[in-house]
Amino acid sequence: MSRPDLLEMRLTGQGVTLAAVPAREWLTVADALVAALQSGGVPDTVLAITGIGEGSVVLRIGTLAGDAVPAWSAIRRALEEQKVHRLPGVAREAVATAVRFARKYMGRVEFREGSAVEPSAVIHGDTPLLGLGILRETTVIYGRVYRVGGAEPKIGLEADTEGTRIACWCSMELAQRVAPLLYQRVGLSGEAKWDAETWSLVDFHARDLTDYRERPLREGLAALAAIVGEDHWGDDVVAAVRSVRSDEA
Amino acid sequence: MTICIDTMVLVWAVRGFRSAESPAEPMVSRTKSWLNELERDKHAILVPAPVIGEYLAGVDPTRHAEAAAQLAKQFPVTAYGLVAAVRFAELWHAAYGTSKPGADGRRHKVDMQIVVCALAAGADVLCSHNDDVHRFAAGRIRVMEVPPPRPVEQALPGM
Repeated sequence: MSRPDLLEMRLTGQGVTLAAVPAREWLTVADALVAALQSGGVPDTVLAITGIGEGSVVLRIGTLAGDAVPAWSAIRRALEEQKVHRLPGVAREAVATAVRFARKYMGRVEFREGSAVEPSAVIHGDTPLLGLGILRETTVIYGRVYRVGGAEPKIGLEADTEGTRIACWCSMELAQRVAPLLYQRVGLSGEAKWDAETWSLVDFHARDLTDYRERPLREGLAALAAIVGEDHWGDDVVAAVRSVRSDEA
Repeated sequence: MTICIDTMVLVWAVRGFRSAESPAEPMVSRTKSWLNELERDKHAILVPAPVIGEYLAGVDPTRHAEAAAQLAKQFPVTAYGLVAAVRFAELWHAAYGTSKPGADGRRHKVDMQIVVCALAAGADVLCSHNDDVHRFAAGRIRVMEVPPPRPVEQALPGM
């Protein structure tokens, strides 16, 4: 490999054989990595499969931006420092996909840059995805659906909490219910894992769809006003709210 | 952009969309026109769960369940969950340390809960007309009051 702008991904190990690993499995790993690289502002990523043989599948990923790909540098550094949970959502998902592959096939995913013989990063089945300070809670995450489906069903959400795209694990049944809501804002209830240092969402497993939908504000508030009728907040609402809070004392 | 609203803003918002007999309160019409702008510009409006509790405290109890269901259909509701609770403790310590704050501190619990709900939900802006909410939110999230309507540009004669 002579071009310095090439990143080689080698799926290798005991269980990685052509007979055992369907093509869609290693393409899923490659697809996740390419998505992570592209999310870092490298739109011209080219994926080339250069070697397939017993014991390994070698994919080479070329970019017109040379080897200074910020997204890849961030992934490599996060693997070195065991801080995968600090990566942006798409990059974290790429590493998680590789970890799942490594676990499933008792293998590993190696990365080599330029003409290097030794891998600059390796993902194993036990590569830690979560940090030490992780908080778990059942909650609702709101955002706009940008993608639904996949062999392992996931809902892609532009989440309000993150301001970025996250992939939410879900059941096939839930994916089918969310699919007609593509490009709309929804609320998904489920289990979230948060990095307690950065308060970023590390992982989210969606269990259900809430009743929230994007609706015209005028109609929604008019319906609410019709239900509520006259409220008891009086003329000076600011003072009334201050008084309610003061009365707690 | 996501905007989290405090109780008084929700009160004005709902009054603004009541039928025509609504009194012409300045803050009601101001809130109504601001919300219309937010919707036109595709901004999301969030309501913290403690705000829903306070709002419903000023509503006939027989209507609570239906009103809460309508609020949850219309707005993302930011819960006061575990993450918000931990952030509440951070905020509390920043304000009072480990000393007992007395009545003043108890009074500020809801203010702080609203601020941390906005933080936990990743809101960009918190809109409130409560000074204490502004004080606790300062430096953590942008806070604002409901802005006056933008002046309508009028063409000069002959233009």
